[in-house]
Amino acid sequence: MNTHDSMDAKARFLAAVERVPDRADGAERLCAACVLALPVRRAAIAISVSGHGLEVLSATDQVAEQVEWTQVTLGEGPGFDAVASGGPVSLVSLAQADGRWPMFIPEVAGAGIGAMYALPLQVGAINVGVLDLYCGLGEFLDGQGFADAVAVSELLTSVLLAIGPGGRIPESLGPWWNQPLGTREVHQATGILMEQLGVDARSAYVRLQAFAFGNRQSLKDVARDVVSRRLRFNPDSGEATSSDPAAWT
Amino acid sequence: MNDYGRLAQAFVGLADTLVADYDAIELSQQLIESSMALLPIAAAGLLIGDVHGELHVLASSSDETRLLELLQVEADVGPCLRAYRTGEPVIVDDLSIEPERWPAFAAQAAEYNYRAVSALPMRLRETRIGALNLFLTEVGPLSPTDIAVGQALADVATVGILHHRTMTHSDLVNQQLQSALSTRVIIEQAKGVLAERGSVDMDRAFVLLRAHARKTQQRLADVARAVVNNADTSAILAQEQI
Repeated sequence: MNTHDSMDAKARFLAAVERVPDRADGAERLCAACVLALPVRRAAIAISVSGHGLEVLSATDQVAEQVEWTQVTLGEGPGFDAVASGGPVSLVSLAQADGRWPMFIPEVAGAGIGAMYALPLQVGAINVGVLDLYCGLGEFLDGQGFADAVAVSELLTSVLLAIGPGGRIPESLGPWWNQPLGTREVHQATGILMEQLGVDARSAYVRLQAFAFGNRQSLKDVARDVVSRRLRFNPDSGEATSSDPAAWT
Repeated sequence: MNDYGRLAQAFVGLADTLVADYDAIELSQQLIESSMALLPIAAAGLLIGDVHGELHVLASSSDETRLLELLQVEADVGPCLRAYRTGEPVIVDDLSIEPERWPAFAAQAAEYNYRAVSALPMRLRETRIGALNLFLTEVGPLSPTDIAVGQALADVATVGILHHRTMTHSDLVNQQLQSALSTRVIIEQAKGVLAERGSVDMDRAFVLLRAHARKTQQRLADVARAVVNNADTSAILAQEQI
Protein backbone atom coordinates (compact mmCIF):
# COMPACT_ATOMS: atom_id res chain seq x y z
CA MET A 1 0.00 0.00 0.00
CA ASN A 2 1.32 3.41 -0.80
CA THR A 3 0.25 7.00 -0.87
CA HIS A 4 0.22 7.21 -4.62
CA ASP A 5 -2.45 4.55 -4.93
CA SER A 6 -4.45 6.19 -2.18
CA MET A 7 -4.27 9.51 -4.02
CA ASP A 8 -5.98 7.59 -6.83
CA ALA A 9 -8.67 6.52 -4.36
CA LYS A 10 -9.37 10.16 -3.52
CA ALA A 11 -9.48 11.05 -7.20
CA ARG A 12 -11.82 8.08 -7.82
CA PHE A 13 -14.09 9.31 -5.06
CA LEU A 14 -14.21 12.86 -6.49
CA ALA A 15 -15.05 11.46 -9.91
CA ALA A 16 -17.66 9.15 -8.40
CA VAL A 17 -19.47 12.04 -6.70
CA GLU A 18 -20.08 13.45 -10.14
CA ARG A 19 -21.22 10.14 -11.62
CA VAL A 20 -23.84 9.31 -9.03
CA PRO A 21 -27.30 10.14 -10.36
CA ASP A 22 -28.48 13.33 -8.75
CA ARG A 23 -30.51 12.77 -5.56
CA ALA A 24 -32.39 15.20 -3.41
CA ASP A 25 -30.26 14.32 -0.40
CA GLY A 26 -26.63 15.38 -0.88
CA ALA A 27 -25.34 13.02 1.77
CA GLU A 28 -26.78 10.02 -0.06
CA ARG A 29 -24.59 10.96 -2.97
CA LEU A 30 -21.50 10.84 -0.75
CA CYS A 31 -22.40 7.36 0.49
CA ALA A 32 -23.01 6.14 -3.06
CA ALA A 33 -19.68 7.59 -4.16
CA CYS A 34 -17.92 5.57 -1.41
CA VAL A 35 -19.31 2.35 -2.83
CA LEU A 36 -18.27 3.31 -6.36
CA ALA A 37 -14.74 4.28 -5.33
CA LEU A 38 -14.00 1.50 -2.83
CA PRO A 39 -14.32 -2.30 -2.93
CA VAL A 40 -17.20 -2.27 -0.43
CA ARG A 41 -20.85 -3.23 -0.77
CA ARG A 42 -22.55 -0.63 1.43
CA ALA A 43 -21.78 2.62 3.19
CA ALA A 44 -23.36 4.82 5.83
CA ILE A 45 -22.50 8.12 7.47
CA ALA A 46 -23.44 8.96 11.05
CA ILE A 47 -23.00 12.42 12.51
CA SER A 48 -21.76 13.15 16.02
CA VAL A 49 -24.32 14.90 18.20
CA SER A 50 -23.77 16.63 21.50
CA GLY A 51 -22.51 14.41 24.26
CA HIS A 52 -21.35 11.12 22.87
CA GLY A 53 -24.21 10.31 20.54
CA LEU A 54 -24.45 9.56 16.86
CA GLU A 55 -27.26 10.24 14.42
CA VAL A 56 -27.64 8.45 11.11
CA LEU A 57 -27.14 10.92 8.25
CA SER A 58 -27.38 8.64 5.27
CA ALA A 59 -26.96 5.07 4.05
CA THR A 60 -26.74 3.41 0.64
CA ASP A 61 -29.50 0.87 1.31
CA GLN A 62 -31.89 -0.56 3.88
CA VAL A 63 -29.47 -3.12 5.28
CA ALA A 64 -26.86 -0.47 6.05
CA GLU A 65 -29.52 1.85 7.41
CA GLN A 66 -30.88 -0.86 9.69
CA VAL A 67 -27.44 -1.74 11.05
CA GLU A 68 -26.72 1.96 11.64
CA TRP A 69 -29.98 2.52 13.49
CA THR A 70 -29.27 -0.52 15.64
CA GLN A 71 -25.89 0.90 16.53
CA VAL A 72 -27.24 4.34 17.29
CA THR A 73 -30.17 3.09 19.36
CA LEU A 74 -28.02 0.77 21.43
CA GLY A 75 -25.29 3.38 21.80
CA GLU A 76 -22.78 0.62 21.09
CA GLY A 77 -20.83 -0.51 18.07
CA PRO A 78 -17.66 -0.10 15.98
CA GLY A 79 -18.71 3.41 14.98
CA PHE A 80 -18.86 4.60 18.58
CA ASP A 81 -15.47 3.04 19.32
CA ALA A 82 -13.95 4.70 16.28
CA VAL A 83 -15.16 8.14 17.35
CA ALA A 84 -14.01 7.61 20.93
CA SER A 85 -10.55 6.33 20.07
CA GLY A 86 -9.85 8.58 17.10
CA GLY A 87 -8.71 5.54 15.11
CA PRO A 88 -10.39 3.19 12.59
CA VAL A 89 -12.12 0.10 13.99
CA SER A 90 -12.09 -3.01 11.81
CA LEU A 91 -14.32 -6.03 12.21
CA VAL A 92 -13.26 -8.60 9.65
CA SER A 93 -16.33 -10.70 10.31
CA LEU A 94 -19.13 -10.57 12.86
CA ALA A 95 -17.95 -13.93 14.17
CA GLN A 96 -14.64 -12.36 15.19
CA ALA A 97 -16.08 -9.71 17.47
CA ASP A 98 -14.41 -11.45 20.45
CA GLY A 99 -16.99 -10.33 22.96
CA ARG A 100 -16.94 -6.69 21.89
CA TRP A 101 -20.34 -5.00 21.48
CA PRO A 102 -22.35 -7.74 23.21
CA MET A 103 -25.71 -6.11 22.42
CA PHE A 104 -24.95 -4.91 18.89
CA ILE A 105 -23.43 -8.09 17.41
CA PRO A 106 -26.36 -10.47 18.05
CA GLU A 107 -28.80 -7.84 16.76
CA VAL A 108 -27.08 -7.60 13.37
CA ALA A 109 -25.98 -11.23 13.05
CA GLY A 110 -28.65 -12.01 10.47
CA ALA A 111 -28.16 -8.90 8.36
CA GLY A 112 -25.87 -10.63 5.86
CA ILE A 113 -22.86 -8.36 6.23
CA GLY A 114 -19.24 -9.41 5.99
CA ALA A 115 -16.49 -7.14 7.26
CA MET A 116 -17.37 -3.77 8.77
CA TYR A 117 -15.00 -0.80 8.96
CA ALA A 118 -15.75 2.24 11.09
CA LEU A 119 -13.64 5.23 10.09
CA PRO A 120 -13.81 8.31 12.31
CA LEU A 121 -14.54 11.58 10.51
CA GLN A 122 -12.43 13.94 12.60
CA VAL A 123 -9.76 16.59 12.51
CA GLY A 124 -8.22 16.22 15.95
CA ALA A 125 -10.82 17.49 18.41
CA ILE A 126 -13.20 18.48 15.60
CA ASN A 127 -15.68 15.65 15.57
CA VAL A 128 -17.88 15.28 12.50
CA GLY A 129 -18.96 11.67 12.89
CA VAL A 130 -18.12 8.29 11.42
CA LEU A 131 -18.12 6.56 8.04
CA ASP A 132 -19.20 2.93 8.28
CA LEU A 133 -18.31 0.67 5.36
CA TYR A 134 -19.69 -2.81 4.87
CA CYS A 135 -18.40 -5.66 2.73
CA GLY A 136 -20.45 -8.55 1.43
CA LEU A 137 -20.67 -11.83 3.36
CA GLY A 138 -17.28 -13.48 3.51
CA GLU A 139 -15.55 -10.42 2.07
CA PHE A 140 -13.14 -7.96 3.61
CA LEU A 141 -10.64 -5.25 2.62
CA ASP A 142 -7.00 -5.98 1.93
CA GLY A 143 -4.21 -3.58 2.97
CA GLN A 144 -4.57 -1.28 -0.03
CA GLY A 145 -8.37 -1.32 0.20
CA PHE A 146 -8.19 -0.32 3.84
CA ALA A 147 -5.68 2.47 3.20
CA ASP A 148 -7.93 3.74 0.39
CA ALA A 149 -10.92 3.70 2.74
CA VAL A 150 -9.03 5.83 5.25
CA ALA A 151 -8.05 8.27 2.48
CA VAL A 152 -11.68 8.58 1.35
CA SER A 153 -12.82 9.12 4.94
CA GLU A 154 -10.42 12.08 5.19
CA LEU A 155 -11.79 13.58 2.00
CA LEU A 156 -15.33 13.03 3.24
CA THR A 157 -14.49 14.80 6.51
CA SER A 158 -13.27 17.78 4.56
CA VAL A 159 -16.39 17.95 2.39
CA LEU A 160 -18.81 17.53 5.30
CA LEU A 161 -17.07 20.31 7.23
CA ALA A 162 -17.17 22.67 4.28
CA ILE A 163 -20.81 22.17 3.37
CA GLY A 164 -21.97 22.28 6.99
CA PRO A 165 -24.99 20.58 8.55
CA GLY A 166 -27.74 20.18 5.99
CA GLY A 167 -25.56 21.60 3.27
CA ARG A 168 -25.70 20.58 -0.35
CA ILE A 169 -22.86 18.93 -2.21
CA PRO A 170 -21.89 21.04 -5.21
CA GLU A 171 -22.37 19.46 -8.67
CA SER A 172 -18.76 18.45 -8.80
CA LEU A 173 -15.81 18.58 -6.47
CA GLY A 174 -12.64 19.76 -8.16
CA PRO A 175 -9.02 18.83 -7.50
CA TRP A 176 -8.73 21.39 -4.68
CA TRP A 177 -10.37 18.80 -2.44
CA ASN A 178 -7.61 16.32 -3.07
CA GLN A 179 -5.26 17.58 -0.33
CA PRO A 180 -4.50 16.40 3.20
CA LEU A 181 -6.90 17.32 6.00
CA GLY A 182 -4.05 19.16 7.63
CA THR A 183 -0.42 19.69 8.39
CA ARG A 184 1.02 20.63 11.77
CA GLU A 185 0.58 24.28 10.79
CA VAL A 186 -3.01 23.82 9.67
CA HIS A 187 -3.86 22.48 13.11
CA GLN A 188 -1.99 25.25 14.88
CA ALA A 189 -3.67 27.80 12.60
CA THR A 190 -7.05 26.37 13.59
CA GLY A 191 -6.26 27.12 17.22
CA ILE A 192 -4.98 30.59 16.35
CA LEU A 193 -8.12 31.39 14.40
CA MET A 194 -10.32 30.17 17.25
CA GLU A 195 -8.74 32.87 19.35
CA GLN A 196 -8.64 35.60 16.69
CA LEU A 197 -12.26 35.13 15.69
CA GLY A 198 -13.67 33.95 19.03
CA VAL A 199 -15.21 30.84 17.48
CA ASP A 200 -15.08 27.10 18.09
CA ALA A 201 -12.55 24.80 16.45
CA ARG A 202 -14.92 23.60 13.76
CA SER A 203 -15.83 27.12 12.68
CA ALA A 204 -12.18 28.11 12.66
CA TYR A 205 -11.23 25.19 10.42
CA VAL A 206 -14.14 25.89 8.07
CA ARG A 207 -13.04 29.53 7.87
CA LEU A 208 -9.55 28.40 6.86
CA GLN A 209 -11.05 26.12 4.23
CA ALA A 210 -13.24 28.88 2.84
CA PHE A 211 -10.34 31.35 2.68
CA ALA A 212 -8.04 28.82 1.01
CA PHE A 213 -10.69 27.69 -1.46
CA GLY A 214 -11.69 31.25 -2.29
CA ASN A 215 -8.09 32.27 -2.91
CA ARG A 216 -7.27 29.07 -4.78
CA GLN A 217 -4.57 28.21 -2.27
CA SER A 218 -3.87 25.01 -0.40
CA LEU A 219 -4.81 24.82 3.27
CA LYS A 220 -1.15 24.23 3.98
CA ASP A 221 -0.06 27.54 2.45
CA VAL A 222 -2.75 29.60 4.15
CA ALA A 223 -1.90 27.97 7.47
CA ARG A 224 1.76 28.84 7.06
CA ASP A 225 0.79 32.50 6.67
CA VAL A 226 -1.47 32.37 9.71
CA VAL A 227 1.16 30.72 11.94
CA SER A 228 3.85 33.16 10.82
CA ARG A 229 1.37 35.96 11.60
CA ARG A 230 1.63 37.29 8.03
CA LEU A 231 -2.12 36.75 7.90
CA ARG A 232 -4.53 37.72 10.67
CA PHE A 233 -8.28 37.28 10.77
CA ASN A 234 -10.40 40.13 12.04
CA PRO A 235 -13.32 39.20 14.31
CA ASP A 236 -15.46 42.20 13.45
CA SER A 237 -15.30 42.09 9.71
CA GLY A 238 -14.39 38.42 9.47
CA GLU A 239 -11.90 39.58 6.87
CA ALA A 240 -8.29 38.61 6.77
CA THR A 241 -5.51 41.15 6.66
CA SER A 242 -2.08 40.50 5.35
CA SER A 243 0.94 42.18 6.80
CA ASP A 244 3.18 41.07 4.01
CA PRO A 245 4.25 44.16 2.04
CA ALA A 246 4.77 42.03 -1.03
CA ALA A 247 1.04 41.29 -1.03
CA TRP A 248 0.27 44.83 -2.08
CA THR A 249 2.51 44.87 -5.13
CA MET B 1 24.60 11.43 39.34
CA ASN B 2 26.58 8.78 37.49
CA ASP B 3 25.57 7.11 34.22
CA TYR B 4 23.89 4.19 35.92
CA GLY B 5 21.87 6.49 38.09
CA ARG B 6 20.67 8.56 35.15
CA LEU B 7 19.81 5.45 33.18
CA ALA B 8 17.84 4.01 36.06
CA GLN B 9 16.05 7.32 36.53
CA ALA B 10 15.08 7.44 32.86
CA PHE B 11 13.57 3.96 32.90
CA VAL B 12 11.80 4.52 36.20
CA GLY B 13 10.29 7.65 34.71
CA LEU B 14 9.06 5.74 31.67
CA ALA B 15 7.68 2.94 33.82
CA ASP B 16 5.80 5.49 35.91
CA THR B 17 4.24 6.89 32.77
CA LEU B 18 3.18 3.45 31.61
CA VAL B 19 1.63 2.52 34.94
CA ALA B 20 -0.36 5.74 35.19
CA ASP B 21 -3.05 6.62 32.72
CA TYR B 22 -0.87 7.86 29.92
CA ASP B 23 -1.13 8.78 26.30
CA ALA B 24 1.16 8.07 23.41
CA ILE B 25 2.35 11.66 23.05
CA GLU B 26 3.40 12.10 26.67
CA LEU B 27 5.19 8.77 26.57
CA SER B 28 6.95 9.66 23.32
CA GLN B 29 7.99 13.07 24.63
CA GLN B 30 9.47 11.47 27.77
CA LEU B 31 11.31 9.04 25.61
CA ILE B 32 12.81 11.87 23.57
CA GLU B 33 13.88 13.64 26.75
CA SER B 34 15.43 10.48 28.11
CA SER B 35 17.35 10.00 24.87
CA MET B 36 18.64 13.56 25.05
CA ALA B 37 19.69 13.13 28.68
CA LEU B 38 21.35 9.76 28.29
CA LEU B 39 22.95 9.83 24.86
CA PRO B 40 25.59 12.11 23.31
CA ILE B 41 23.15 13.49 20.76
CA ALA B 42 22.16 16.96 19.62
CA ALA B 43 18.55 16.32 18.61
CA ALA B 44 16.02 13.51 18.42
CA GLY B 45 12.74 12.75 16.73
CA LEU B 46 10.26 9.92 17.03
CA LEU B 47 8.21 9.12 13.95
CA ILE B 48 5.39 6.65 13.40
CA GLY B 49 3.81 5.38 10.22
CA ASP B 50 0.20 5.99 9.25
CA VAL B 51 -2.06 3.58 7.44
CA HIS B 52 -0.42 4.51 4.12
CA GLY B 53 3.04 3.70 5.47
CA GLU B 54 4.02 7.38 5.58
CA LEU B 55 6.05 8.57 8.56
CA HIS B 56 4.91 11.45 10.75
CA VAL B 57 6.66 13.11 13.69
CA LEU B 58 5.02 12.09 16.95
CA ALA B 59 7.52 13.81 19.24
CA SER B 60 10.79 15.74 18.90
CA SER B 61 13.43 17.35 21.08
CA SER B 62 12.40 20.78 19.88
CA ASP B 63 9.64 22.42 17.91
CA GLU B 64 12.10 24.31 15.74
CA THR B 65 10.90 24.37 12.18
CA ARG B 66 14.31 23.37 10.85
CA LEU B 67 14.42 20.19 12.94
CA LEU B 68 10.88 19.28 11.96
CA GLU B 69 11.55 19.92 8.31
CA LEU B 70 14.76 17.92 8.43
CA LEU B 71 12.87 15.03 10.03
CA GLN B 72 10.23 15.25 7.34
CA VAL B 73 12.81 15.21 4.56
CA GLU B 74 14.36 12.17 6.20
CA ALA B 75 10.93 10.55 6.54
CA ASP B 76 10.45 10.86 2.78
CA VAL B 77 13.86 9.46 1.89
CA GLY B 78 16.49 8.74 4.51
CA PRO B 79 17.83 6.43 7.21
CA CYS B 80 14.66 6.82 9.26
CA LEU B 81 12.44 5.50 6.48
CA ARG B 82 14.84 2.64 5.89
CA ALA B 83 14.87 1.66 9.57
CA TYR B 84 11.06 1.72 9.61
CA ARG B 85 10.72 -0.36 6.46
CA THR B 86 13.38 -2.94 7.27
CA GLY B 87 13.00 -3.13 11.05
CA GLU B 88 16.80 -2.83 11.30
CA PRO B 89 18.89 -0.02 12.80
CA VAL B 90 20.50 2.30 10.27
CA ILE B 91 23.64 3.87 11.74
CA VAL B 92 25.40 6.52 9.69
CA ASP B 93 28.65 7.61 11.30
CA ASP B 94 29.47 10.28 8.77
CA LEU B 95 26.80 11.79 6.55
CA SER B 96 29.44 13.37 4.28
CA ILE B 97 30.54 9.96 3.01
CA GLU B 98 28.15 8.60 0.37
CA PRO B 99 25.96 11.74 0.17
CA GLU B 100 24.41 10.34 -2.99
CA ARG B 101 22.57 7.79 -0.89
CA TRP B 102 20.12 10.36 0.44
CA PRO B 103 21.16 13.60 -1.23
CA ALA B 104 18.38 15.90 -0.04
CA PHE B 105 18.59 14.70 3.53
CA ALA B 106 22.41 14.75 3.70
CA ALA B 107 22.55 18.27 2.29
CA GLN B 108 19.98 19.63 4.73
CA ALA B 109 21.53 17.86 7.70
CA ALA B 110 24.91 19.35 6.81
CA GLU B 111 23.38 22.81 6.78
CA TYR B 112 22.38 22.32 10.40
CA ASN B 113 25.71 20.81 11.34
CA TYR B 114 24.37 17.32 11.95
CA ARG B 115 27.21 15.05 10.94
CA ALA B 116 25.91 11.64 11.96
CA VAL B 117 22.53 10.01 12.45
CA SER B 118 21.23 6.80 13.96
CA ALA B 119 17.76 5.58 13.10
CA LEU B 120 16.48 2.85 15.42
CA PRO B 121 13.40 0.87 14.41
CA MET B 122 10.29 0.80 16.56
CA ARG B 123 9.08 -2.74 16.23
CA LEU B 124 7.43 -5.50 18.20
CA ARG B 125 8.10 -8.91 16.67
CA GLU B 126 6.78 -8.61 13.12
CA THR B 127 5.02 -5.31 13.60
CA ARG B 128 6.95 -2.19 12.58
CA ILE B 129 5.45 1.07 13.67
CA GLY B 130 8.12 3.74 13.16
CA ALA B 131 11.62 4.84 14.10
CA LEU B 132 13.55 6.78 16.73
CA ASN B 133 15.92 9.19 15.08
CA LEU B 134 19.06 10.51 16.77
CA PHE B 135 21.21 13.35 15.39
CA LEU B 136 24.82 14.01 16.34
CA THR B 137 27.00 16.99 15.59
CA GLU B 138 30.14 14.87 15.79
CA VAL B 139 31.25 12.36 13.23
CA GLY B 140 31.78 8.90 14.60
CA PRO B 141 29.82 5.90 15.77
CA LEU B 142 27.54 5.79 18.76
CA SER B 143 29.01 3.24 21.16
CA PRO B 144 27.35 -0.20 21.23
CA THR B 145 26.09 0.64 24.72
CA ASP B 146 24.53 3.86 23.51
CA ILE B 147 22.88 2.06 20.61
CA ALA B 148 21.54 -0.57 23.02
CA VAL B 149 20.15 2.11 25.33
CA GLY B 150 18.55 3.91 22.40
CA GLN B 151 17.00 0.70 21.09
CA ALA B 152 15.69 -0.18 24.58
CA LEU B 153 14.04 3.25 24.80
CA ALA B 154 12.52 2.75 21.36
CA ASP B 155 11.24 -0.68 22.39
CA VAL B 156 9.58 0.72 25.51
CA ALA B 157 7.88 3.36 23.39
CA THR B 158 6.67 0.75 20.92
CA VAL B 159 5.08 -1.37 23.61
CA GLY B 160 3.58 1.71 25.20
CA ILE B 161 2.06 2.98 21.98
CA LEU B 162 0.63 -0.41 21.06
CA HIS B 163 -0.86 -0.72 24.55
CA HIS B 164 -0.65 -4.43 24.64
CA ARG B 165 2.37 -6.73 24.51
CA THR B 166 0.56 -9.39 22.57
CA MET B 167 -1.20 -7.11 20.12
CA THR B 168 0.16 -7.57 16.67
CA HIS B 169 -3.01 -7.84 14.61
CA SER B 170 -2.63 -5.17 11.97
CA ASP B 171 -6.17 -3.84 12.35
CA LEU B 172 -5.62 -3.08 16.00
CA VAL B 173 -2.21 -1.63 15.22
CA ASN B 174 -3.80 0.68 12.67
CA GLN B 175 -6.31 1.82 15.23
CA GLN B 176 -3.62 2.60 17.80
CA LEU B 177 -1.34 4.41 15.38
CA GLN B 178 -4.08 6.50 13.78
CA SER B 179 -5.37 7.27 17.26
CA ALA B 180 -1.90 8.44 18.35
CA LEU B 181 -1.62 10.63 15.26
CA SER B 182 -5.06 12.05 15.99
CA THR B 183 -3.93 12.92 19.51
CA ARG B 184 -0.99 14.77 18.02
CA VAL B 185 -3.43 16.82 15.95
CA ILE B 186 -5.41 17.76 19.05
CA ILE B 187 -2.21 18.87 20.75
CA GLU B 188 -1.27 21.07 17.79
CA GLN B 189 -4.75 22.62 17.81
CA ALA B 190 -4.40 23.31 21.54
CA LYS B 191 -0.95 24.83 21.02
CA GLY B 192 -2.45 27.24 18.50
CA VAL B 193 -5.09 28.40 20.98
CA LEU B 194 -2.56 28.87 23.80
CA ALA B 195 0.05 30.54 21.62
CA GLU B 196 -2.40 33.14 20.36
CA ARG B 197 -4.20 33.69 23.63
CA GLY B 198 -1.08 33.86 25.76
CA SER B 199 1.18 35.47 23.16
CA VAL B 200 3.74 32.71 23.52
CA ASP B 201 5.51 30.64 20.89
CA MET B 202 4.46 27.09 20.03
CA ASP B 203 7.29 25.50 22.00
CA ARG B 204 6.28 27.36 25.14
CA ALA B 205 2.62 26.53 24.58
CA PHE B 206 3.53 22.84 24.54
CA VAL B 207 5.62 23.15 27.69
CA LEU B 208 2.70 24.83 29.46
CA LEU B 209 0.28 22.14 28.33
CA ARG B 210 2.49 19.30 29.55
CA ALA B 211 3.29 20.97 32.86
CA HIS B 212 -0.36 21.59 33.59
CA ALA B 213 -1.30 18.00 32.71
CA ARG B 214 1.36 16.69 35.06
CA LYS B 215 0.46 19.05 37.86
CA THR B 216 -3.25 18.23 37.69
CA GLN B 217 -2.54 14.53 37.02
CA GLN B 218 -4.49 14.46 33.81
CA ARG B 219 -3.59 12.89 30.51
CA LEU B 220 -1.95 15.32 28.15
CA ALA B 221 -4.49 14.36 25.47
CA ASP B 222 -7.40 15.19 27.78
CA VAL B 223 -6.02 18.61 28.71
CA ALA B 224 -5.39 19.40 25.05
CA ARG B 225 -8.88 18.33 24.07
CA ALA B 226 -10.39 20.48 26.82
CA VAL B 227 -8.43 23.51 25.57
CA VAL B 228 -9.72 22.98 22.03
CA ASN B 229 -13.24 22.56 23.40
CA ASN B 230 -12.95 26.04 24.90
CA ALA B 231 -12.08 25.24 28.48
CA ASP B 232 -10.75 27.99 30.71
CA THR B 233 -7.01 28.23 30.08
CA SER B 234 -6.09 30.86 32.67
CA ALA B 235 -4.48 28.30 34.97
CA ILE B 236 -2.42 26.88 32.11
CA LEU B 237 -1.22 30.28 30.95
CA ALA B 238 -0.54 31.57 34.46
CA GLN B 239 2.15 28.99 35.08
CA GLU B 240 5.60 30.43 35.60
CA GLN B 241 8.90 28.98 36.65
CA ILE B 242 8.86 26.20 34.07
